[in-house]
Amino acid sequence: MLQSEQQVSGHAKSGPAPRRVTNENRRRLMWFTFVLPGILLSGALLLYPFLDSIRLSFFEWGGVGDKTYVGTDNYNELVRDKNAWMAIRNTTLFAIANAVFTVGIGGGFALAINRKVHGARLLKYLIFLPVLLPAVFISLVWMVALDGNFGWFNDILGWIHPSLPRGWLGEPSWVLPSVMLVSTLQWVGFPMVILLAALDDVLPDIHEAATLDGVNGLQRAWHISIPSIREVISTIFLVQLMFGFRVFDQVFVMTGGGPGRVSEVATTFVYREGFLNRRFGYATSQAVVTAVLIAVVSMVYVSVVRPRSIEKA
Amino acid sequence: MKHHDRTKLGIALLAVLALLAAACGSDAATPVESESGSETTEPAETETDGSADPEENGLTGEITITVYPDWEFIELAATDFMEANPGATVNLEAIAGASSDYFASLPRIIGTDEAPDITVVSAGRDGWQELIGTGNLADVSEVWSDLGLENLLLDPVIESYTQPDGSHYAVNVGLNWIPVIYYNKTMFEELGIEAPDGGRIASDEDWLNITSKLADNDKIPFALNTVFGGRYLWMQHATSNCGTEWMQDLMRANEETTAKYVDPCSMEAIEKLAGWQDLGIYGNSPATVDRDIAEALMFSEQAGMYLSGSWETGPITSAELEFDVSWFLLPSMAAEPTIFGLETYDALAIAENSENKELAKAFLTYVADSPFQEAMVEYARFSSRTDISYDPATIPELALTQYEQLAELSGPAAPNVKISARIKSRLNEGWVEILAGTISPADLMQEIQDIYDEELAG
Repeated sequence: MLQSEQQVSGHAKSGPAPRRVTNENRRRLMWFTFVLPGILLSGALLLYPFLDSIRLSFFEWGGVGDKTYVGTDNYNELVRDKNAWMAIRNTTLFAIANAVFTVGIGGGFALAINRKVHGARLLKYLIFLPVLLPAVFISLVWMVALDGNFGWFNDILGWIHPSLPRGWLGEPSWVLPSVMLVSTLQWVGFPMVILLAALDDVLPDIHEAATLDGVNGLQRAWHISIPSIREVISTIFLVQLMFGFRVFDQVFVMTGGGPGRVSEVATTFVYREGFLNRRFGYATSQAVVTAVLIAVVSMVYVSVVRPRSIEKA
Repeated sequence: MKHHDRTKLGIALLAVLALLAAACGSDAATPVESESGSETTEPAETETDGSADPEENGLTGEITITVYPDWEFIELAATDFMEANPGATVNLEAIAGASSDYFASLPRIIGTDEAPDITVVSAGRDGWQELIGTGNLADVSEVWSDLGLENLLLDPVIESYTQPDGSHYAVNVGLNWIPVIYYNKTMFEELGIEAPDGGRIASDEDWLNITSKLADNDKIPFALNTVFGGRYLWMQHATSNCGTEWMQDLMRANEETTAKYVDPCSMEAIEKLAGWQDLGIYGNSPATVDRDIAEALMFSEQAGMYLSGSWETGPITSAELEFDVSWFLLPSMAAEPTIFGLETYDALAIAENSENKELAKAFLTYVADSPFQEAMVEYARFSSRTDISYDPATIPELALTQYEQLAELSGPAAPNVKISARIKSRLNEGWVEILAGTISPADLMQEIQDIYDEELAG
């Protein structure tokens, strides 16, 4: 008889009860063994630096030498620093714009390409190609193109109408939209391919039935395709939002946060305060505030939108 | 595997190979930006190995020196030094990226294994004492005493480079002056614009005549870089409007200082410069004109003038432009004539953990000694030693004309400007904000005064 059967029958032999190693425990142990390296890696590379950053935000430190404990002074200064508020505002605007435009335009491209018209595959590759290129490279190219003194963009606009050329990266009202435009042009291909894959899963029978009922293409897109991939749209919107909060390359390369600090975002603010002004404690306080902001935005988004794919995860 | 799958795989592999080939590609020169020079290519690494017995032929060992990319004169020093010491190898590396980033990170890296043996430093400026305080710079007082530099250098250099305990941590490698307005002489002649060939513009009216004629001919009159152009222009004009003593008082920044950034004479200076924006003197998009763009606009003849320092004569000469270049100073304001500001902060220092400190000191001694200090004028590099005389034939003409008038056009050499990093940064940023229209000159000066007061109090 098996040990377990003995226990059930109540006819166990004499002596101490044998230890029970169930399949469940073995599975848990195996699961833990496989997950442990990932936990250690995440802990070392993510959790520890994050916690240490929080700790550093309560100190004043120039990058070398001793750290001086200052309590909440850095956070108090942050509250009074209009540049810090500007950076957070710009970051939030950028993140929202990035998500809206890349998902919106990318989704539009996906719907168009999904119709399998001639040249759709080539178009898909061309739109996705900038995603593969380094952000610094794209930013440099557009920085030259948008230059108010010799950029070709103004040359073309000048041919159209003399009043159109602007100092795109030099005028406060145009600098952030210009950087957003460049970011959108680069990253629109990423949501496009995700949504395209999702559209491929929509049953063609539904579209055929709708067509037979006299529904045109736009109506099918609005009433069938988009609702069918709603979860994917929600998820990719959140992903693009998170990417937007982390913007650095485009702003750093194209404007450096300027003119003045008009286009400053949280990451360039942290870089400036930490590496240029050598105030690492103050810089990390801004980083912590930004991280909290991102967490809050994510939680609110998940609560409100409740993408089922996230819930399932 | 299907045919089209193999095709895709083949294309993907080719793409990866192409990327790898590009990544492992040539030593194509990388344009870099530096504080005291234009965008140029990195100097090639210079090294030779001694062929004779090194023990018989002087010093041995290998050192690495990190300097600005346009410091060609250091290449001359390295070559000559290695000829004199066949057992020695001197490797030159250029600062990659912005020099401000390099100097900001220098306190952190100078004590590491990644630090060069010798590095360029801005002695006497903001961050200098902090760098010394890391304990990672070698004491080079021996070099000073061997050469008797305390009796040979300009007084402000001695003051800026000497620690309270009499020690020294750097050796000066040249005298600069700024601001200098370089202009396209050929363009001016073609457009019938009269301008002094060296010297000072006589009046504001003359200046405005020059700029309006350039603008009328679709040229950017004055390409002013936003990196330091506004700050130096304000300093020059505030000195001219308030007096040299006022500026020296302001820069002393101690309890006895009475000069203020918000003094009316200072405000007039910044207002005047800001007013040129409304006249279109800085072009259509001045807020985005950094050093490289300003130089590019000038070299491509889209701009008629640009601002830089004495060091710019080297890059201008090397560029072999198709037009002639000359220079002048801007017109004076009320109190005194506009002058060059003399700067002596370009220096070399040795890392304390250098494995070849003796060789490094020998190199510094070679650079600071009179023969090389005379020879480097070939690169438009002038010495801060008072015992050096030059053969005019060895000086590039553009630099010679400035040097000949230096005594007349420069004020008393002052200790290296001890403007704080925060104020310097705010002045630079604030100038761009003035150009962008997001702050008024008065508000900027008030902000800077507040920073000044805060630093003085704390």
